[in-house]
Amino acid sequence: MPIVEIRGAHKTYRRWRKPPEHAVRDLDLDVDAGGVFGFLGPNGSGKTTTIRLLLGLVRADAGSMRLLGEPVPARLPQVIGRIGALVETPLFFPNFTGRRNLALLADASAIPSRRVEELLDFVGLAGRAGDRVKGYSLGMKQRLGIAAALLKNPELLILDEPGNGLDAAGIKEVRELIVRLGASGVTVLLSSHQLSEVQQVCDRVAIMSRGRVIRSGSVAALLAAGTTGDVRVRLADPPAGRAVLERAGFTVSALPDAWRVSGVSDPAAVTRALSDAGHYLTELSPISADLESVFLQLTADADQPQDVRTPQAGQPAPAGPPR
Amino acid sequence: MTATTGSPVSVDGPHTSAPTFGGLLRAETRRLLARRFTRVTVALALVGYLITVALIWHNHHRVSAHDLAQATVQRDQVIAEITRSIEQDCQQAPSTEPGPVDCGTPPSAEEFPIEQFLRYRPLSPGQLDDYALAVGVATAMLAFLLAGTFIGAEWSTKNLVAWLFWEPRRLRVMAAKLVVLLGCVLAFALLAQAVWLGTGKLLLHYRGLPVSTLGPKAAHFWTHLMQAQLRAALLSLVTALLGFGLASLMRNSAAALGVAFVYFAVVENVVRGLNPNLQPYLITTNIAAWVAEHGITVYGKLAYDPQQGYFTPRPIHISNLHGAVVMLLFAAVVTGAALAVFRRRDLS
Repeated sequence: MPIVEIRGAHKTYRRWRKPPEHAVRDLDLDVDAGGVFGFLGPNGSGKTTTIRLLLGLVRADAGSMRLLGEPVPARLPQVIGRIGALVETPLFFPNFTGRRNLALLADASAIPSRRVEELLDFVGLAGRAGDRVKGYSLGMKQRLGIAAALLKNPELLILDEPGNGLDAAGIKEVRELIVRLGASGVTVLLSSHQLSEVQQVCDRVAIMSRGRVIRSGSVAALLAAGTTGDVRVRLADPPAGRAVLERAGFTVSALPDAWRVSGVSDPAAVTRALSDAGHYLTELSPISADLESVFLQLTADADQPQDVRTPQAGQPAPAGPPR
Repeated sequence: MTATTGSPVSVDGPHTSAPTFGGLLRAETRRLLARRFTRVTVALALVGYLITVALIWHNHHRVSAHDLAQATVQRDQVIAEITRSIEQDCQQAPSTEPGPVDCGTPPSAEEFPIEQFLRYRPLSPGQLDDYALAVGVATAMLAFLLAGTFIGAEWSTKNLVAWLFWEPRRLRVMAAKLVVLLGCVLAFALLAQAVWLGTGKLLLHYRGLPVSTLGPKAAHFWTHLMQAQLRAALLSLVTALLGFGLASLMRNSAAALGVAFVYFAVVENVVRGLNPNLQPYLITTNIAAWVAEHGITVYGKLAYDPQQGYFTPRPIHISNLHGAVVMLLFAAVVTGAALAVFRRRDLS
């Protein structure tokens, strides 16, 4: 059973003297229990609104949602104790210390203060827990936010851009933390635009654009679907080899130490063209797509004025045209 | 992040449930009392109080029984002289009408407060009432500030949203804040009045007149004073509700203060000037009516008085009950609107 289930969600923001903004449109999403689920999309695609809908911060105009099997927002109070969330910027009282901020939350739910100390240590803030939050860097606030989200020992952890404001080392630490959480059985719903990070930690993703999920499925399936059709070619005589390939009708571009041959439907055609001209390969390897290129391709397609077909959640989409 | 080897996160570990209302109350109380603004304003209020008490002490002097007896003799002499003078004038006055001449009533001792015949001005028991009212107004203003900043700070830091990750029932979250706020404000206002009662007794003892100098009023003096103090303390609840409601509607403490200032300094005075008959529906008028012992009388538009034969401002009496009801209506409307908007508002 999906731990997060959204069917036909629709949210339009209506503001005085401004055109209505359709933040989420007919959104379907399933997130199965366990592992790390990536929720991707360009700025303004509706990721944060979707998370706010799930957490009852904004009201959906239409559609139904379930969290941990319970309909939300109607039964959100019954499941909120099993959900941790960090949405965009962590929210704390700036004049209170990090410890007091966590203690206030712990107090409300009768969580022992020992757990506050454990989590401060866990996120590496034990040494600065007595300092006021207004003196924290954004990265420290993010870590405190993660500690606050973990206070409840959640089954589902919703993290919206947890890498915001973190330096490279901080991002790596958060990535390792998310991997550990996913491995420990916590389901992590990770919303991010840092695609390389997502590719490293997520096993499944959904890609949003203009308020809709345009693709969802396992990372491997998405990458396979987004195979470029390009190959990397190394030769003993690169300039001569390039000329041969271009004469054979291939598009050739330079890589740091090889040629990139595009539009290759059958790699044998490359070897044949080169061997016929007396050139022999030292390397021929497919150039696989990364999540970033798949993401850019999908979101660019979605921006085209066409009827975007939303695939069934969990199903890999048909391969797009090679670029 | 220097993660420890043992992870404190485990799906098999105990999960928490949504906070109980008691848990929310506990957390909100801790937050209110830990706020720097609360501590600073209470400390400043305490300093202001001590300075006021010191000034009262400095400006009044102890009166011995001998001084008091001497002053009483002087007062009685003055009353006797005035009475005699009235009688003489009355006997010498030509009678224009048949029957006995009406020379008016001779003055009573109550019309001549004893402190007027003392060289050094002692603290009069009647002044305790005025100071109790001043303490009440000060705590009411403090309550407005505390309430406005209590919720305003949550809006400006957006911490209110963080609470909803723990307790998504918005009205429950707000109710906990209101209960804690009103409880603490009332406790503070009552404590302030209790402290003033004790201080007043000491000041009267060392720098004032005995209550017995009030004459027939002395018997109910302390009861009346404590009733006035209770009314003054309850005023803080209304101002706290107004501060909370305004700051919540505006989502900002400073905006709430601005609106309050414009309303009290401009709107009420304009209304009072344009149509004095509307005074019974103004907050400040009703505050005054609530704290005064038997309400107050204000004057509306000119109206023809057939007995006098000319136009006079129409007197309008506003009772304690009227004052309380109108104040509470204002507070309920502002707070109710704030809660209703918060319940439905999309939060970002």
